[in-house]
Amino acid sequence: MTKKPWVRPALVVGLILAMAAPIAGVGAADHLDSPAAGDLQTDINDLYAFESPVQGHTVLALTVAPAAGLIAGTDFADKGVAGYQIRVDRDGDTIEDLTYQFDFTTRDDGSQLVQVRMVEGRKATALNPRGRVVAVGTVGETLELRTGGKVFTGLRSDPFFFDLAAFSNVVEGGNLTDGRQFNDAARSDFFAELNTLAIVLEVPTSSLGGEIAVWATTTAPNEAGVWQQADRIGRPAINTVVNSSGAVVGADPGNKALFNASHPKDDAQFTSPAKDALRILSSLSAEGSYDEATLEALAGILLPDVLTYDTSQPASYLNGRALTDDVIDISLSIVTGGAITTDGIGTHTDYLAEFPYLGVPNE
Amino acid sequence: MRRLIFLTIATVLTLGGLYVANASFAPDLVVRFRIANPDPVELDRLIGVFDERVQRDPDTTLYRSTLGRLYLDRAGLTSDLGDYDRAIELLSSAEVTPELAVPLARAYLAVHSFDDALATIEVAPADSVATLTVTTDARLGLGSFAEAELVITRLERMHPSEPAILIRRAELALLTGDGTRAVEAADQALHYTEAARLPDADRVFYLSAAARHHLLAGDAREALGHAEEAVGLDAANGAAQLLLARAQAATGDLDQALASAERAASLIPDPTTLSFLADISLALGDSETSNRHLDTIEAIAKLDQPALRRSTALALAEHGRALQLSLAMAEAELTERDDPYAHHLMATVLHALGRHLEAETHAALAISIADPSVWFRAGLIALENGQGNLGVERLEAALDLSPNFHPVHAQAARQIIEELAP
Repeated sequence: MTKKPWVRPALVVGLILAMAAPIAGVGAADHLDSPAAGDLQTDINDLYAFESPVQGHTVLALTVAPAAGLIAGTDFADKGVAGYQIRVDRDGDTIEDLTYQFDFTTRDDGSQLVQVRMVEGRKATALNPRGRVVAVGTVGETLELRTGGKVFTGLRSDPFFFDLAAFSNVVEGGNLTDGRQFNDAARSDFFAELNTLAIVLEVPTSSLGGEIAVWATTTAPNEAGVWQQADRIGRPAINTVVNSSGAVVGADPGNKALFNASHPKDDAQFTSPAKDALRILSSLSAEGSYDEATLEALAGILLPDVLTYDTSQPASYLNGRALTDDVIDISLSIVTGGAITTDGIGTHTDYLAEFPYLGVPNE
Repeated sequence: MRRLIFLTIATVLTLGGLYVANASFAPDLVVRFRIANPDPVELDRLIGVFDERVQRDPDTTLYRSTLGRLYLDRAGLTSDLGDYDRAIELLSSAEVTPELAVPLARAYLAVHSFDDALATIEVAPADSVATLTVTTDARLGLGSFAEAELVITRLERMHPSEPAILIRRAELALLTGDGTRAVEAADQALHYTEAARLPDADRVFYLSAAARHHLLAGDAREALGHAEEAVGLDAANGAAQLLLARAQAATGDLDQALASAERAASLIPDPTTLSFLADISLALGDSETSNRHLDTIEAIAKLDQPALRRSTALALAEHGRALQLSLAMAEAELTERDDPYAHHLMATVLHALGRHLEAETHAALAISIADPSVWFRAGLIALENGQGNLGVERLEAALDLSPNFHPVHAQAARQIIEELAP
């Protein structure tokens, strides 16, 4: 018998992500999950997909560089060192039909130039697709896309919100000795006042499709100079959870890098680690672990790791991901069987009502 | 005069604290959890953010450790000992986890608490590159060269082309008397920085290190090129500015050397920089300015900072200042770090005190390193002890190593050799 009700799997993942988060670093949706990437500027934080307040438009937002200025730097990695992509599958085959490629160049004065390419069809699957240039301009400015819509790249306030200190103590257990608990008097949002690098697209929904799957990648050359995928994200922290090599989940330490370097269409290879992770983490509940059928079903939803979004409906975490979606609270409720219902942290207050929606950088 | 001394002390203190040039021995091998090119303004802002959080929730370990890391990052930019001390206070205020062991150990290295660094790093994974590099630096700092050799050899097997390991090989070679190997390893380290795509801050370090080794080996032109490139990348790097000043002096351009040394002192007013500035000023005939810098060093000595003890005592002894205080500092150094430079310091102090026979004992132990200044001092001591031939040999050895190793001492060595020539 299935002991647990059917849960919204992405939310489970949302919790587990932080379990594997490096205690002294910044554990967030996908922050610091890419140890193979030597450059933190290619380390992906979060991916969002939600409806724009502008009629008929959709927003796709990618954040990279964990705690920019604290852990990572505050500039994008230059072309030749890294590339950034947002990929869209329009037909459900987990192969991208449309890719936006973002390349950056640092000028002599230290400012950065961004070039945005839009590539459709078979070429969209390339590591660094070369296609039509749809925008060129300075990082930090809003640019019009030649195909309609707009793009912003640059430093923003990190929209993610989470009591990392409590989580490190309660869930990771034993690493910190300060006695912090979720929603206690000392609760606070680690990510408040931190910044991230953001790539925000606002494009006509018709250019994306109806039921789409979105994921983002970063690319960089390896030590031999061969380009490879450095990091990827669909839903928050799938890799962080499924392939956590920490004491709780204990996945193969090589899995995480393999995941980051692979394509979502090949994610079946991670089904077994996904089930293992879910089995272990669901055992935190007094009701015990998920049964096999539930594990199988959940793994089948978590993978492939893409952010599915029916653009005809309002975004809400399972359907796309809005900036204000509180992944942590719901995840805590699910994983603890209702014992913990919140980390006591609410959304940030600095989101913007208009493009680029992420708050201005903290300074 | 009292007013002058007061002003010089005030100058040091109002510059923001005490500084130690090249406080971190080498860039971190592990790029995680550090900013590639930290933005000083953003660092200051985040220190403010987390300082407030720590004040509000002093028991939240994550905030203390994060703030500690921020202070450590800023110390890496400024070499401010106050930032290192604050980082140590914060990072050591809770149980030291494996994740915190490396940054805390690095902070201990920076303030020359080498035993604390070794004790702290025991918590980290024993075979990690970060652990081994911290261990290497602590062993080098303590003068335990055989142990350092073992660890470096192990690291070289793991990462044969890693600049951070090669530069440690260079340091060990220098300290064990193989100046040629030191230069070779420093050049290799610099070469591999290009393939490693290191950030500018790290590149500046390797350029400065290569400049230093070339300078010690007498290749002033090569040193000058590296130092100029380092300063070109980061004009606010005090250690690079000092290397540039030394290289300019070694190539005979004392006016430029003075300007560079003044810039270095404005960035890192530590005893090494001020002592060099005093020497350059003297070489240019400005004894008043020279004395003013020496007065500042005397003021720094009274603040008793372990990380500055060696450089302070050496600067004072070389200029015949505060010799009893210098002796006490030299004895402390020798007790804690029994390496060739500690013996060089003791030899210099005893020489200045006129205790030449005792000085010779230490000078003989110091000349195992390929540093012309060490050989110069040993030569003077031998001459004081009536060992004319030995003295001249040592002075010649100093000039052989580097013909223009010091704006005053190199010329003095040549004069002495000439006067004693048969």
